[in-house]
Parts: sequence; structure tokens; C-alpha cells
Amino acid sequence: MIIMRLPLHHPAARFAFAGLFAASLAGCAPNLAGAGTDPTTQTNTDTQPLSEEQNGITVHTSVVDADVAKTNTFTYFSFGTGAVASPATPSTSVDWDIAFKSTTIIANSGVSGAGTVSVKRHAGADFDALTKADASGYVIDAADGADSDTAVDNGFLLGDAWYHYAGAPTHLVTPKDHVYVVRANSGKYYKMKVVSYYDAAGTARYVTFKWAEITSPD
Amino acid sequence: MTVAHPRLKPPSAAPLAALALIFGALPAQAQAPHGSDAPQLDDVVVTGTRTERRLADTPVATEVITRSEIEASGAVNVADLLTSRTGIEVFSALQGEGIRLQGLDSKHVLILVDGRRITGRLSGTVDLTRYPIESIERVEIVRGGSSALYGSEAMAGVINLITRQAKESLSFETQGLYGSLNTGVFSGTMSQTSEAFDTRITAGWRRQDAYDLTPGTPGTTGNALNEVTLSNNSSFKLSRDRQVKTHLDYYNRGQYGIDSSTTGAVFDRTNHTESFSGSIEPQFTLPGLANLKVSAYYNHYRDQYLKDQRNSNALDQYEQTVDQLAQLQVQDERAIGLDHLLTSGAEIAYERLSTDRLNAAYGDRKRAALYAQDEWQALPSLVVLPGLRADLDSRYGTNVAPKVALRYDATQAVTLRASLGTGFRAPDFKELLLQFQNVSAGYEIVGNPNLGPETSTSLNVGLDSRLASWAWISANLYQNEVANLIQTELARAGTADTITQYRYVNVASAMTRGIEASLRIQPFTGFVLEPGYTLNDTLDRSTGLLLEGRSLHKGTLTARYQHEPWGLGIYVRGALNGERPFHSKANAVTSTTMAPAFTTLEARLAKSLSRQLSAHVQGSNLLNVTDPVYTPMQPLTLLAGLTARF
Repeated sequence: MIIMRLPLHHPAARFAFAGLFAASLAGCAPNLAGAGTDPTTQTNTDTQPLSEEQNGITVHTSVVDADVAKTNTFTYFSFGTGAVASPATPSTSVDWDIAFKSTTIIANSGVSGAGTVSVKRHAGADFDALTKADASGYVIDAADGADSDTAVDNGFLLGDAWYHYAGAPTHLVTPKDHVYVVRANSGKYYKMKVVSYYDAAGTARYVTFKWAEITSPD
Repeated sequence: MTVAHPRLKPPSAAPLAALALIFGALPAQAQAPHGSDAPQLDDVVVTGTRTERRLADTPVATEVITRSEIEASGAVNVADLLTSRTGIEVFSALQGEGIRLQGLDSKHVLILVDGRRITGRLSGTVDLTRYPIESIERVEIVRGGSSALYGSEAMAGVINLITRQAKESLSFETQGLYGSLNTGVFSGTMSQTSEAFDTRITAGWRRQDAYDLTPGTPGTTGNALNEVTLSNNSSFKLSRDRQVKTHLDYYNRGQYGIDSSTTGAVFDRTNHTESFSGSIEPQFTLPGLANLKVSAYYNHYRDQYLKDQRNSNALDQYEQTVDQLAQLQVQDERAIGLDHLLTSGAEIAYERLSTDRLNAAYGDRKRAALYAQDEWQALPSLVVLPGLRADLDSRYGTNVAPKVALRYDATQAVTLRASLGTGFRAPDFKELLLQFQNVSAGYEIVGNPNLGPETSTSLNVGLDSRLASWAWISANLYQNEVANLIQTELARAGTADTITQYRYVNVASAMTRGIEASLRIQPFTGFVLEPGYTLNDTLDRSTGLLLEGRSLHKGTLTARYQHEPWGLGIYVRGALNGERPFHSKANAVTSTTMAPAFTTLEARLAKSLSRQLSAHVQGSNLLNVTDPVYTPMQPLTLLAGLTARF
């Protein structure tokens, strides 16, 4: 034993010296990698809509993962099924109506897809009171024009976009008080309103929106 | 012939008093008051010249915080100790607390432990709360560019933490403290000396709860922590002219806090920081008035960071940083004739950093350096100290740093010191190798392998004078010019296919200048009053703005009273920090906010109960400054404790 050969004359000194070495061998910090303790994300990623009756209309609430993992991919949504769609070739598919990636919402039409989905903005409208779609004023997706963003120009984004970005330091994204009427690939009309850009755990890019089918124009 | 040189101190502790004055009596120095915590002129300092010198003799102005002042102050760690000091700013960093010196950033201050470089700078800052006070013998501070001796980072100056060595034949010391935030501090030390072997072992433990200056949010401001330290300094005396010093230490700290974001996300944050260092230093006294020191050491630093989102794992984050440094150095010190002391040395080092966000698994560098200085007694009252160091770095090539210092004893009571020095800071691995993308915000920051070092020139002119038998003044004027500062610059504007790219370049420059002055008054035995003042004027030469977070004016006051008959000691220290500028940029317009002035105040009261036992109560942040935005200090903290020595 090296420790015993050290010229430590007092037993207490030997004890302290041995203790130092023992403690230094035992003392490494635990590995924290993968130690996050939560279960996989809770029901808030589930896009099965919550539904409730309002004025005789069934209003659904859906939450979509708008590229939370930042892999630069869209999440596709169909009003007909009321759920996320997984088209093999989104650019030629008509199985989706709108799609989400971060703050970008596209419609399946024009430059964005092979469908015929068009959108009309009702700025500041009362969601509950809107029960019948207008006959005109719907736009399809067009290539990015002269506005400040670099996303496609459509009913959600052109001009008065659906969200407000607070910038530094909070970077909060807050939905504006707009109601959108979407003419789906099926020819049916749906009203929708974005409620939040965050899930209950505070994660960004979880877009929560409520929607309902409404009466077609005469 | 075995006549000792008057200024060359042999590494074995030969009595300095026996050394004859070869070339006439040096003028008596401005004597510091005895019987107080003041550094004594016979105290040995090392930082100014990298060799052991009496404080009275060193040609390089050196501020010393002695063990007795450390104990009187009640500081728990080195950051506490440096709070409220002239010319030093302590600020809350990403982790713990860092310091600024002469208005320059913490990345421009070289921190040494017993003259050895350390690892574990986070964003350029060394967390000084990492160094518990129980193992610190003294702190030496040398201001101004000192890269001519120490190489990279010694731009604003050098702070050298000197650890405690064994002193008595066999002694034990323990201290316990308890108080606010469930703070508990316990340390124990064993020290033994004998003819052939000295050793000192210290173990320490500290814990405290988190605190919160923003009660409206779930997040905490200051971390809960749990810290364990172990260290050993030993010395093997092989013969009269040979000895080997060894050093080992281990540090382990867990920090726990809660972060909350404006989106409603709440995170439990855990940090585990560990460091290990070990060194071995053979020292030889050579014939012909020379000393030779060899030193080999290794530092290992590991920091783990886990951010655990509550109710989700979408934003969970884990990062690990491992920083390793191995260094070998040789230094020779010899007298040449009667008027020259030549110190020369060589160093080689290997450093390796692995962390997330680098564009490679790790970054590494090799470094070699040669340095020399000549301490020349030009006149009986004048010492001239030219020095030069050349560094060769595998990342950017060579850098040559010169320095010259003068010391002039104008009268028996007045000593003038001046130094013109250069400094540099080698680009760190993040600046060289970073690969960081923020896709959602549409930009990336990349390192630049072609970076050169940041460089500086600094001028210090100082005066130490005895005004009366009870009053001393010390003043220093400084100016630092810093160039080639590394900042990010737009490298490529974003297009439809590529995101905006920023990268590090040597572009910015800055200036700091000011005055550091202090007075020491001892009106009667046992009582010392030290008022101090710092003027610190700064300029970011690239933007024309003041440097952020620096106070233009700072006033400090320390008062100590020792009443021997009652065994009572009182220590009070305070600092008034003037308002500080902070800049923010929105839509390409910079606006400046002045953070309000604030005052820090600490006090300690100690009472000897017997020869072995003393009790103390102490308080920090007594005015309870709690500004979560600009001054997130720990709120008013009171601690009480006992110290036993036997």
C-alpha cells in the first residue's frame, strides 16, 4: 500500500489521507444523458378532435404538430376525415385540405398542391355567428409576392396574416382574431379559427384550431 | 561561494532575513500597517514576475488579499471575496459569477490556480463561485496586459488563486455555517508537516436552496446547489536543494433550477459540473544562484446540462462539455552578476474540448511557448523589467507579446510603478468550430478556422505612498486598447434555398481607461478603514457606444475592527456601483437603457470563545438589492457558524 509508506506519522493523518482517495474514487457525478423523466408527449399531440355542439353545429378542436422537431416538413390535415392525412405524394394528392409547418399554413391548391382548396378571411368575425359561407372572395395559393414574408401567398398568410409575432425577447406567436372559411376539396365549406400556437406544456409549433362545417352559399 | 542573492528566493523555505543586501540597502518601503489584515511587506508574491518576490520588492504592482482578510470577510467562495473591490466587477453569468477587470470582459482576465491555467470557461467566463474559500491562502491580482509572461487571456490582468499549504506539525480545522435559504457549509482540513513531507487535505461541502426574484412566474432566479470539494497539497523534501510538490483536487457541483418561458413551458434544469486537476512540480536549487522548476499538470472539466420540459419531452435538451488541458513547463531563474535576475521558461500544452454544436466531435490545439524576462536593478532606486514571450499555436500560428515594467523608489515613502504590456487571447474552440443553426429564426452561426488572436496594449502607472504613520495611498491610472475582437458578422444573406449565415471574424475594437485608487487609514491599533474609488471609462470603438454593464464610477469602503481583549472582530464592506448602460437593438436602431445604481453591503462579526473555538455571524446583500433584470443578486442572506482549530 502506497498510502502506508507515506511518512504520515499520526493515525488521524493516515485516516484523512486514505479518506481523500476513497472519496475521490467514489465521487463522480451521475450521467444525465437521457434522464428526462416525462412520458412521451401527452394527449395534446393527438389530433382526434374534441367536439362540442354550438348553435346546432358540431365544433371540433384539433391540435397539429406543425414541425415541432424542425425537420422542415408539413403536417397535412383533412376536414373530411377530421384528422391528419399522410399522403404518399402530397403534391399530387387531393386527400388533404390544409397543411401546417411552423407559422406557415398552406391550402391544397395553386402552387401548393393539386387540389382546389380556397380560403376566405373574415377579419375579426364572430366564430359562433358565422354559420353560412359567402359565395365569393376565396383565394387559392399563389407564389410569394411582394409581402414581407417568404411563404406562399394565400388566405392565411397574405397581408394580414393569421398570427402576430412579438419578436425579441419573448418571440411569442399569438393568433389574431380572424375566422377563415375554407372551401375543401370535397366542395364542402368549413369555418376555422386558430386558438394557439402552443400545446399545454408550452411547446411551440403545436397549432390548435377549432373548426366546423357550415352551410354552403346559395 | 554560497552567498544568497538579495532578491532571489530559493524554493526551499530558507529564511529571507538571512539574505545579505549585496548592493546597498534598498530604501525602506512604504510600510503597511502591522497588526492588521493588510498584506505585510515580507509576504511573498509570485504573480507579477512568475517567481517568488517579497511584496516590498516586486517590480510589478500586485494586489494581495491575504488569508487573514479572507477569513475576516467571511467569503464562502472567490466570487464573494472579489465583490465590492476596487477595480473589479463581479457579475452574474450563465452559470455562477464572473468578473471584469479594468472594464474588460471576463474572457480577457487570466485565472490561475497556483500559477496553473484552468479549464472550464463557459462562453468565455470562469465561474469563480467554483472556488471555495477554505483552500485559498491568498489571491494575487496583477493588472494590465501580462501575456509577455502568461500567454493567452492575460489582457486585462491575471488573478492568481494561491492555495493553502501545510503549516503546522499536525493541526485540524473545521468550520460549519448555517443560515438563510437553508445554506449549509461545512469544511474540514488536516495539515501535517515533518522534515521530509508536508501535506494538507481539505474537504468541503455546501448546499443551499434556490431563490426566486420573480414570484409571478414558476421559474427560479438563483439555483439550488449541492457542492463537494476535496483537495490535497503535498511537498516532498528530498534534500536541501530538491523538493517535489504535488497537488490534487476534485470538485463536484449539482445546480438545480426551474426555467419558465413566455409560451407557458416550464423546465426543470440540472447542471452537474465536475473538475479534477493534478500536478507534480519538482524544484531544484542549482549552483551559482539559480532555481529550476519543472511542472506537469492535467485538468479535466466536465459539465452536464439537462433541461427537462414538464409534461412533455418535445423541448428536452441535454448537452455535455468536456474540456481537458495537459501542460508541461520548465522555468529557470538565475542571477547574472549583481544587477540582473533572469527568468526564462518554456511551456508546451495540449487542450481538447468536446461539446455539442461544434462542427466536429471535438476541437483541439497544441501550444508551445518560450518566455524570458530580465529584472535589472539599473539604479539603487530603479528596477527595469523587460519581458518577451512567443507563443506558437497549432490553430493560428505565432504571437509575440512584449512587456516592460519599471519600479522607481522616489523617496522612502513613495514608490512609483509603471508598465506597458501587451496581451492576447487565442480564439476559443467555439469561435473556431461552432456550427449552430436556428432554423425557425432562419439563421446559422458558424465558426471561422482562420481567426487570429484578439490583441491588446495596456498602460498602467501607479503610485504607492505612505502619507503619515497611519495613512497610505495607492493609485493606478490605466488605459487598455483592445483590437481584433472576435464578433459575429453577416457572411451570407438568406435566399429561398439557404438561411442567413453569420460567422466569427476579428473585427471589433474597444478601449477602457480609468483610475483605481484606495486609501488605508489606521487611526488606532486594531481599526482599519479603506475607502476606494474606481473610474472606468469605456468605449466600443466599432459602434461608438459605452461597453455594456460597466459602471463609470464605483466607490468602495471596507472597515475592520479587532478588539483583542474581547476577542471580537468586526468586518464591514460595501460598494456603491454607479448606473450601467445596456443596449438593445430593434429595427436597426440601438437604444440604451441605464440600469440603476446599486449598493452591496456585507458584514461579519466574529468572537473568540476559547483558544480553539470562535463563533461568527455574517450577512451579505444587507440592503437586499433584488433586481431580477439587471442585478439578480442573491437576496439578503444571514449565516451563523463556528470554527474550531486544534
